[in-house]
Amino acid sequence: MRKTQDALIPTLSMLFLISGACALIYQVAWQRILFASFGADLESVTIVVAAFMLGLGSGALAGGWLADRYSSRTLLLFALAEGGVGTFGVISPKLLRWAGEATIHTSLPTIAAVNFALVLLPTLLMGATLPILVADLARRWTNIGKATGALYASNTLGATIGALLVGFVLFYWLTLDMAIYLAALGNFSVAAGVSVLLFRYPNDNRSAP
Amino acid sequence: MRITALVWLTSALVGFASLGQEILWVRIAGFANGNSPQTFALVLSLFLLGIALGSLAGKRACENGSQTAIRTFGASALALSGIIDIAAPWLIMQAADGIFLTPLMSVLIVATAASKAALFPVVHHLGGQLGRTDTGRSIARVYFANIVGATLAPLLIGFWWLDLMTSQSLMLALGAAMLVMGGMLAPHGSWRVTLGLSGMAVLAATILMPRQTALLETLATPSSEASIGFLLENRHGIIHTLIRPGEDEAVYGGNVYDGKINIDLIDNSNRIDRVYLLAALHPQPRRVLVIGLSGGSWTRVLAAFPSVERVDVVEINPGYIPLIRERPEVSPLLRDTRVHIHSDDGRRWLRRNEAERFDLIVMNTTFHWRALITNLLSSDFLHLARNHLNPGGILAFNATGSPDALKTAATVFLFAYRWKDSNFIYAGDHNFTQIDPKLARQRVIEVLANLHINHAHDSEHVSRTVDTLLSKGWVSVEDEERLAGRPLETITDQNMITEYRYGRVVWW
Repeated sequence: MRKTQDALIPTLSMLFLISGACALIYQVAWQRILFASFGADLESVTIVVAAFMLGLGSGALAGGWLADRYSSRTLLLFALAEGGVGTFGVISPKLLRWAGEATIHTSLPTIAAVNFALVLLPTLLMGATLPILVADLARRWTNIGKATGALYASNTLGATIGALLVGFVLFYWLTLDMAIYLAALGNFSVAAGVSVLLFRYPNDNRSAP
Repeated sequence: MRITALVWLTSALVGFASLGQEILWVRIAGFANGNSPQTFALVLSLFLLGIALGSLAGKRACENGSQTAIRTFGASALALSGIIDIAAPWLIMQAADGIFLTPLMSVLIVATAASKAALFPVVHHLGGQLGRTDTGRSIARVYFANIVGATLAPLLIGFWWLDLMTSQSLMLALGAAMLVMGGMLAPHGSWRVTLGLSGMAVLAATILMPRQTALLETLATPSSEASIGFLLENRHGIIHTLIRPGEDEAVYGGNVYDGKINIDLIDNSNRIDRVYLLAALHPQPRRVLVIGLSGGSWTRVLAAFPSVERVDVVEINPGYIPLIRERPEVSPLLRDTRVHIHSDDGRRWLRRNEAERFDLIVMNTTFHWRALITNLLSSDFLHLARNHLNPGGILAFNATGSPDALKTAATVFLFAYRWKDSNFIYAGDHNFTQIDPKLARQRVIEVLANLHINHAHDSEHVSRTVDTLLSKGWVSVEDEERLAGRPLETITDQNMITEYRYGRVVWW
């Protein structure tokens, strides 16, 4: 069991790091699309950031519930969440621009509601991943603080890499939409990686103490 | 207070302070640097790196510590965070005009983020319930509290408090809040009293003191010769002016040059001739749209065009209005009933006012390397502007040295040129360069007369200046390509080339 975890946990941390990098690419790219559609004034900036945060918060609660309800299926839940984010990523450029066109003449509360609805699904899935994985790792390590610190560090380190990639590499050579598709590819790769883990360690995933 | 409630409160406050501080760092570092997209990326990266390092420190503290030891660690991290937050503005001021500003700011960004993020594993450890059926939910509730705090930060700090307090004051207030929180989390009574009282003292001092602008003034003043003429920080941004001996007052938005207060063609310290030229190019403009009010000089001159019936101005920051009100050269435009100022995003305003048509659309656009400027330079935007022009209408905008801006205008309009010896591009669907020099001259003189400027100079000087204005040639896109020495590209919302590929080389 110990040997299995030695291989599983670093792999999971690496996958969570990639997930963090993809999340940051989405955040910057989606904000640019939303600012171009809804305006780049303070009201729009606040709405977009608050919508992201509310989505992450709702996702956190949902993730906690799922982690308890399906405690033996945490890796599968993580893979599904990443696949979901990637799928939304693929359709997101067209969807966000379409929503921008459709709501340009509406009031600020409507725009806020539309923004929230648009980013709700992906941010809900992103927000759910941390409690799901922390709950799983905390049971393995019997230490919540240690699990939280390790996973949050790898996720935010990934986000750091994502921010640097967007600001200094991706937008120099790729278009806005291409950067989003690259992030979606990242999510699908993470989902595939977790699926491989599921096949390699089926018992480990189901027998968390 | 029950430990669960204390943990949730700490988690929420740390989330609030972290995101709030990210907002403040983006603003302060952007002000020090000029708000390039690379500055934003770098600040974000450093902040996230700080969070990652802080999380690892918190993880280590949770590995072997008792509840008391973990609480002591959490209180220490909060106290450290408070001290760094309070000291940061003063430290930046000491390094403001030296080579250490960038490394110091980088270290401070990482340190402020790390000292708060160290609490993240701690609060989850203290608030999570291991070995029960609700382990996941107990972790999620602490995380949720953190995100509630992080959601409130842009709403309270970004949307409200920045209208009441400066970013410097808010840094101090956040530091004070960290000290108080550290006191609440501390397991020992003496810590509680010391941290709690010192935090409350700093908080009271911050609220009671007048608006603190020393940090911005230090960062904004490049030399001892220049002095601040006007400084306003609000939730939309930071506007200031610099007064130098013998020069017109220069206006800055986010510490980036935004023009000068001058409407005199003869003085021309702000190349106001680029607006006067429009009087020569368009025989009878009735409706004018100005995107970007800034110090108001351009709008004041446009409103003096003899045929103009209405001027619409779209400005994202209403903070320019008090500046204009205080400056007699430009303040008449605020009393001019033909001038309508809209506080809005230029692109959104055009999209929401589909039926509006103009004879002139004028944008003294900011530097092409600034964050989000693509929204005003891209072919997507120029198509939108073109749809709002009357037949014979002209779009004039500042390319600020981007050759690709001319290429972009030339792909959207039938005629697009850069005015020689300037950064300004004029574009339309008719050949506006073919003018009757006599009538054009008359119209320019009329603008000067309406502004009572021709009386301030001798007529020969005025005449020579107008002749020079009308004699300058045009740069075509082919000429521009030769000058650039590379194939020019069209700027689009997708490629953002003026911000990134051909953006500013210095990142910070």
